[in-house]
Amino acid sequence: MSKLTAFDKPPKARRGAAAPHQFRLLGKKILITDEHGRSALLTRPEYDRLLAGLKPSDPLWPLLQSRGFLAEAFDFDAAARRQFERGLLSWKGPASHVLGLDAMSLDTARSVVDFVFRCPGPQLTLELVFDDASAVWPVLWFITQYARRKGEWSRRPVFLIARGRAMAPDQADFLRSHGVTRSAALTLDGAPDMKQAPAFRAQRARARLGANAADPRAWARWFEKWGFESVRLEPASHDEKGSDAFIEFYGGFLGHLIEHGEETNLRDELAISFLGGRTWNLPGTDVLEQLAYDAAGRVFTAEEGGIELGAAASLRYQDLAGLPAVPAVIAASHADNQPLCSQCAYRPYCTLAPSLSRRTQGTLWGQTPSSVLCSIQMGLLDAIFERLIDEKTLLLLNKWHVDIS
Amino acid sequence: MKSKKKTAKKAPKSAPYTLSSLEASVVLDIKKEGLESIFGAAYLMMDRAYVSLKGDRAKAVTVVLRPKNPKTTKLKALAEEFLSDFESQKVRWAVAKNNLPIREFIAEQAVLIANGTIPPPAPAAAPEPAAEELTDDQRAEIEKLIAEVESEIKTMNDKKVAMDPKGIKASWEETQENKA
Repeated sequence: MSKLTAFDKPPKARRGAAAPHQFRLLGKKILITDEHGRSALLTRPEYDRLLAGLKPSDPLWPLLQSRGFLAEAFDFDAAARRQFERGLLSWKGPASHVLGLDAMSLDTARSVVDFVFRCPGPQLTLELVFDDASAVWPVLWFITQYARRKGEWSRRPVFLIARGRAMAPDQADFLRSHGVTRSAALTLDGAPDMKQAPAFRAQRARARLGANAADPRAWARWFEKWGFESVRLEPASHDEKGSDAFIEFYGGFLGHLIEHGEETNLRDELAISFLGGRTWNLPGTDVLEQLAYDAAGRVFTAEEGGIELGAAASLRYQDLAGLPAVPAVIAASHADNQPLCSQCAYRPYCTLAPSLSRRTQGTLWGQTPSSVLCSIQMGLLDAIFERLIDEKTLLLLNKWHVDIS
Repeated sequence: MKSKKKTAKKAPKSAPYTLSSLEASVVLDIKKEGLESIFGAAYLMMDRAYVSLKGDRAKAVTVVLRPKNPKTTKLKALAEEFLSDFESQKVRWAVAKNNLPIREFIAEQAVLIANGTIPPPAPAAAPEPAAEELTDDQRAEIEKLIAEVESEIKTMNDKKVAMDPKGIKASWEETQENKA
């Protein structure tokens, strides 16, 4: 069976019955999704009835009609608006900008922030990445102040995130008092030592799994104990072994959050990004949602493995579209252009980063049937959607302000 | 090399396949099955097999599957997986084709919304003034910020000196600079 899953005995699809959708077999259920992220979990007889044509007297009719899965009762105006709002037709420019601060000069910092503010998005997020805050403190201090002022001048909300491995308490206090979210870059190895505090108090964690990472539930408790509000997990490696271990770890981690949903304040950033339509937070949205900058002020299509586009000091935002790399990257990341993605039930939630495909498979376009990146995304989404039947999962998503209705 | 042909087996509810020592072949009628489903199923086999299509695309094609890892992949299982995916591809393409007019209409309406022909799109964010268009006050504030950050750097350097009054940690360049 391929990644898309297949029926043993396929049903018949009658014209005029089911509206546009994709399906995926999840255990004994069939997940159906539309292009805009609305979903339903059906049994096989229910799915057969949908494809054959539901009668208005059918108990499923109100649910599937309200979610837009019935061709004969389809809300065209709402569908067109969602198509406009979620597609490239309403694209406002990249919202997330990742700045590598280690060894960056003040002049470079200023020209990079100036470039970021030339991007026309209605709101901007600057993620400031470093190893030790003390080593980059003047630049970090300057960008915090300068970006805030630029945001006020251009009347746009600006979100600042400081992500590093080390930070002194007075630096953390300064960032907190200036509304900067502190994110700790961590590597999870073995099981956690509950008495071992993180290097600094942070709200978020970007946690890469070490080769021997174990006991995801204990790690979830460790994050809770040390006051983290959200965690984004990353695989140790992009090979088959690393991907399987990561998916298993993620399932355990998410399982703990669901079981303790009432008392925990910890959030899973991956689930929120997938289901909440915040694709900029996924490692998969080169140029469309994210640009990255190195210490020399060079602009890249993504933080990891991105293609260089030019220097922030001389590049004009309006020139981006004319660079050969930009249309290539955008075309490669659009699901309609990928045969597997265009038929995938997870299409509205997922994007494969062309930069990561380039790094792992040597091609921007990627080969999704054999892509480990695709296997990881499918595994994570399977772990989430398999749990959506559980009332506790829905309550937790509600708590995270994720609306999947 | 002469390949040994095995007797054709009947796959469940679908076309028969033939197995040789190196590859599995399936003959499919284009008019009956549709070319898109064949392409779709062939594409999905890319992680496990090299797939080649032979024949007349107006009548019938032979799909030849050669496993990428012959030691671990059984040809029979490969052929059956292809046919299973092929049957599901027919469902996916049937749903897609049945809904082609709906999708075309939605795409057309979305373009009209973007053009402002039907309910106008949300107003775009006001463009940020370019650096050359900054007001005098804004320029002054940037200068003040830079002066502040320079003072911050000086304080940090002074702290370093205080912690190392004899300049033990200073590099050769720094000691020469101080002498000059």
